[in-house]
Amino acid sequence: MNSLTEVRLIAGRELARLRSKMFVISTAVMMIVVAGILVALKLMGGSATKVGFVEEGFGGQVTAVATAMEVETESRTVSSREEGERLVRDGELDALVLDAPLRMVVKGEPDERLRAALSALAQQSALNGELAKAGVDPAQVNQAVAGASVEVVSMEGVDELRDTRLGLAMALSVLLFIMLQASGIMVAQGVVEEKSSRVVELLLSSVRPWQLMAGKVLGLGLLGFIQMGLVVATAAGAQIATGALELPGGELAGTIVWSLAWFTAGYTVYALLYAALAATVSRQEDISGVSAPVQVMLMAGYFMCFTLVPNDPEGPLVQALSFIPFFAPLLMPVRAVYGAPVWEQAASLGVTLVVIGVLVWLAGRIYANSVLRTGGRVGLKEAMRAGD
Amino acid sequence: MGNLILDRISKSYGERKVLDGLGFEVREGELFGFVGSNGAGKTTTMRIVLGVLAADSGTVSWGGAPLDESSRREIGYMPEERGLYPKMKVREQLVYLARLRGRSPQDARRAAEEWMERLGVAERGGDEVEKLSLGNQQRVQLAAALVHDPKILVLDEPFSGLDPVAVDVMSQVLRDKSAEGVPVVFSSHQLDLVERLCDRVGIIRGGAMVAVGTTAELQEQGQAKLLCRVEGAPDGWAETVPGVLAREGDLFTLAPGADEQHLLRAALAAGQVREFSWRRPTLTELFRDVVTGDKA
Repeated sequence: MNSLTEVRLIAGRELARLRSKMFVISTAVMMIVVAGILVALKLMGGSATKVGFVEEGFGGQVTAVATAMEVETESRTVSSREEGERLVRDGELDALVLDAPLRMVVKGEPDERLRAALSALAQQSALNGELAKAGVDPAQVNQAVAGASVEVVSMEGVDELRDTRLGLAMALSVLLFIMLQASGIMVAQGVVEEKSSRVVELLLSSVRPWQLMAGKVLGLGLLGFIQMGLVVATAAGAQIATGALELPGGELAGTIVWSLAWFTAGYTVYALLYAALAATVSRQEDISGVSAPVQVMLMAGYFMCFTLVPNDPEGPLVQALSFIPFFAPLLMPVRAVYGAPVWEQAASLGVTLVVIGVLVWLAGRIYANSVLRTGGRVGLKEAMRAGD
Repeated sequence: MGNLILDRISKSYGERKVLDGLGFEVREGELFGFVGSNGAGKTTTMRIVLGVLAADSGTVSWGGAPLDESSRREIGYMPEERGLYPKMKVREQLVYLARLRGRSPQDARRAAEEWMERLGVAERGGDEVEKLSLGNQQRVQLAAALVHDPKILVLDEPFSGLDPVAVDVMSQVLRDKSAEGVPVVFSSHQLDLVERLCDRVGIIRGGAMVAVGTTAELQEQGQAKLLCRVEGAPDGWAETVPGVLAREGDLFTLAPGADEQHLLRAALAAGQVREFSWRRPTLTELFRDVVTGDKA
């Protein structure tokens, strides 16, 4: 039996939580929420206003104006005014539009965008009438008017998908934050459980401290990765089914890949920190106190995702912060949504891996020197010193 | 198998020296009782044998070779601070612990069933440890020490907190393991039990062994006392008898080489002699002498 066999056994014990009620329920809830958001987005964004007309020709005219004004309509010819009014009352039509004079029959509040389109239509026909009276050909005037528009010069370019990106970025940062936080806490609780139940001494009579820590971090990491993978796969499936997010498929795929990569890296950073700090205390109640600095770092990254990144995803401040391994796991995947260059992702990941290397050593040392010492809290300086 | 030998083990925590050149040997198939007052260094010694703690100096060897990681897996250990995963099921936990010590899944499962059966917790195999009574948790703890079929047993206070039935079960298990040729070392404050069970006893004081040997050998080292019960004798009847050094009730300590017949004659003269015999010190008395006496 080599030392990795033991690490695998320890990780396997943690992974057995796959069957636990808590894991199954929390994963299911997250999957439902993610799929629900995408479906709701599709239903809200994509619904056309249903408009009824008595005369078919008039309907075409209204639809043309509405389309020009970017109001999505679905027209339907009804047999009579009475029939149309009944359908409006029953909620089958959003509005019934009648000609001569132009009227819009609705159940309660009118759809403002449709109303604006109809007003424009009314104004247009009034204008046409006046022009004809003045002896001018309305068609000629309309043509001249249609050609006049303002030219827009955008300094930074226009991203028509900005809102969509913002929404995706927000959702992603919430998911990453929850996952990193929950997995990290789970590591801390697992370490303290072994200390407070004193089973750690029995374990350390068969395995080395580093094996115990590595097995725990790996097992719970795999558990978190499976959960994250299931949630992301659900989101991808819902997106493919509904097409709710109007982002290019390639960008979405990139976001998924970077999210999973950064979850893995971020989990490792935070799990090692949580494991080391938790090893210095002996009671579950003391975890929150001792891990407060780590919590603060995680929260700081989370808030940056909401405040700094949406305003200026490629700005120098965001760029600099996303190379700090404690913030990068949140900032980088969110920046992927805004199309951060691959070299930046890779470079930041490289920095994080180096820091993980240092943390493995540091956390291993603190853990080994503290985990057998029950009672009061072990000072960090003390834990760092060479123990036995 | 082989003998377990501790040789000149020293360990300090900062300025405080906990073990000071401690050494003793537990032979194959021997039950060795490790006694000493609280803080004498028993737990530290056992932790060093298990490799949970590292000694500052000295060696622990088994069968002629120093104990290393792989040979330490052959030790069955019961820490002073009992502990199992509270939320893990008894059977799963025993299988897991056996596998951590290198047993195959099949062996681990079979041994878990066997020990649960033998220690009377078989019907609780599917329950979480925390749902068991403290007594049953102790039995599971013992099973955890035995489930990988250890070649050495190191048990820290295995009898503390056990009911009389469990004490008998535990004693029998220890006898059986030593009969298989396993060196068994355990610490206990229940000295009558140690005296009854152990082939040899070691008394530790201030981090060093002050007496090691069979109970009989230790008793010979201790001073025998004379029991003399006399009815109807006046107080102080023995004060003038030559050779009497001290008296506690009916127990007399005589000067080396003194003739006990002087005391008997004085006793017969003083009243009706009901009992007159030499008494070997019990382990408890020896222990008290050794532990409270000046460091030899």
